[in-house]
Amino acid sequence: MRDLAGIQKDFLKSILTAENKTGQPQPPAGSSEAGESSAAIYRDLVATNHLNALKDVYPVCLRLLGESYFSFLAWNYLRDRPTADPDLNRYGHDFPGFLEHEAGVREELGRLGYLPGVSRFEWSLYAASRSSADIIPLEETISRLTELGDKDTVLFRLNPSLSLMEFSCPVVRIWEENRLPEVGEIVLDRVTEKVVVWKNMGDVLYRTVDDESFNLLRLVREGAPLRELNRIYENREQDLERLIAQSISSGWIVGVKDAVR
Amino acid sequence: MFETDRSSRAGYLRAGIGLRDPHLRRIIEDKPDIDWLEVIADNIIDADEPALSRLEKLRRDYPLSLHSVGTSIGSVDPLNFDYLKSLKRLIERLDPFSVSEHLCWSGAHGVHLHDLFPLPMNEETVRHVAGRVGRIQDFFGRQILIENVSAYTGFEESEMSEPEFITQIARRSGSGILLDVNNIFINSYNFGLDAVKYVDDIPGELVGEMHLGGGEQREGFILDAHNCRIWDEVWGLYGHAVARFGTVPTLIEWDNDIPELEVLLDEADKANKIIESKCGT
Repeated sequence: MRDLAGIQKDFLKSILTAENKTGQPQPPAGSSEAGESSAAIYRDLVATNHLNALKDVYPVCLRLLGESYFSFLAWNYLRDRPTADPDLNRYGHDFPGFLEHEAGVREELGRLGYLPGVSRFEWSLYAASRSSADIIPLEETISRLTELGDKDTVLFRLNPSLSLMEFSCPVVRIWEENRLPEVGEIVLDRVTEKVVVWKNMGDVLYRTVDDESFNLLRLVREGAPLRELNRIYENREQDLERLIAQSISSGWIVGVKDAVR
Repeated sequence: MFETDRSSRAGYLRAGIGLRDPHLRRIIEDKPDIDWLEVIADNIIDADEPALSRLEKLRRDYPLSLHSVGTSIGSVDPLNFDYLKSLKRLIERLDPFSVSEHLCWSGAHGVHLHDLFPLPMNEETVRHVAGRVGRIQDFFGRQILIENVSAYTGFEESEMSEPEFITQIARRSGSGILLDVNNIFINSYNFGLDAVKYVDDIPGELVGEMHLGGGEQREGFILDAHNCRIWDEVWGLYGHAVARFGTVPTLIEWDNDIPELEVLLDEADKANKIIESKCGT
């Protein structure tokens, strides 16, 4: 007789390992063939549930890969990287990493070099849409900044929903085109695309930004105080004050505090 | 020990429906005549402030029940207190008349598969699950209801009937029972059991809520699909349950291929008519 831990281990194995023939749950009464059939039902329910969760998050990846191949990868992802998180809404956060790995071992995916980037972009949009962090109103941030003046120890707070991504191909363009019924021609030239995704007043937004804006946000994310920002931007063409003002008005910087207090 | 809430807040409630996104605006604006609404906790666990405020406002017009799917009560893994803390925050904020979870497991050994798997029905499981339900109730500071789930497999390690299994866990933990009548029908079909006897074997004083939903046939089983109207056989079994348990808050479940609100209200009306015919209320 197996204990509960053993039963659950066997049950999971019967779902995640299609070939597994041992430890199958007992078939319903009167049906000698039904053991594998019932495991198949659970396998199908679990696979469908997780596949649908991925489809919701990655609609353009689904379109790029096609229904059948996407389903194949979704099953492999579930089997190879099962989650411990009870919240299905967070399922698929490391699907981009999985695609990146698969692209290295599957020739057919290697041809879609932009796919991991598209998936990262889609996850960022989804994560921003679900972000529930309270955003400090713009007026409050400006007023606090005015109060603190240009003290060296001022620290900025990024919008918690904000993602910063850097791509080496036109990922945003690919994503935009593939959401339309007819996909236009896209030149897969090597570009460096810096993208910000964030949620502001309930809307999910994205923008490709210049190097200076991107770097400022990266430094703020790393916790650089105003003193360090002043030093870095001292000899640059871009005006730090203008960049900070733009970041606040865009809803990227949503708070400010004095690190000393 | 906590007690099943049948007389104070929940005792007057009849049929309710699940609050689902496609109907949210209509319910807020039109305030249809419905006794109560069910909120799936997992759908709002990360909800932003405006969404929670909307629910709080709705709470002024409708009693709410909070139903969760992610606790994995029967798992051998430790309870996930981050998840339970999130549920507790929702309980404190929405003040539901009932809080419920499934008598099942969804993952173990560090894997969560987001489904409701059946448990072997024996003394080891009763002890294990009753202890966990007790800890959850202590953490929430209130009673929860545990719901019988549909099953498509059994275990040779099972030693007792399903009604005995759920009753023992409820009695030992002090929880109530959320009796899913559709799941009783499904398991009776799938395993060749007597559905009426199942209902008769459940102590009435433990039943704090009932569920009704539509099923789907597949590969010799009936699945708990929640994608269609309630089957006639399930209405019949519900009539028997109402005759036995009296007026109990009853949810019309419909989670897939969600229809117009009127269809759900029509199903709720059917449930209310059965309650009226059996209980005169």
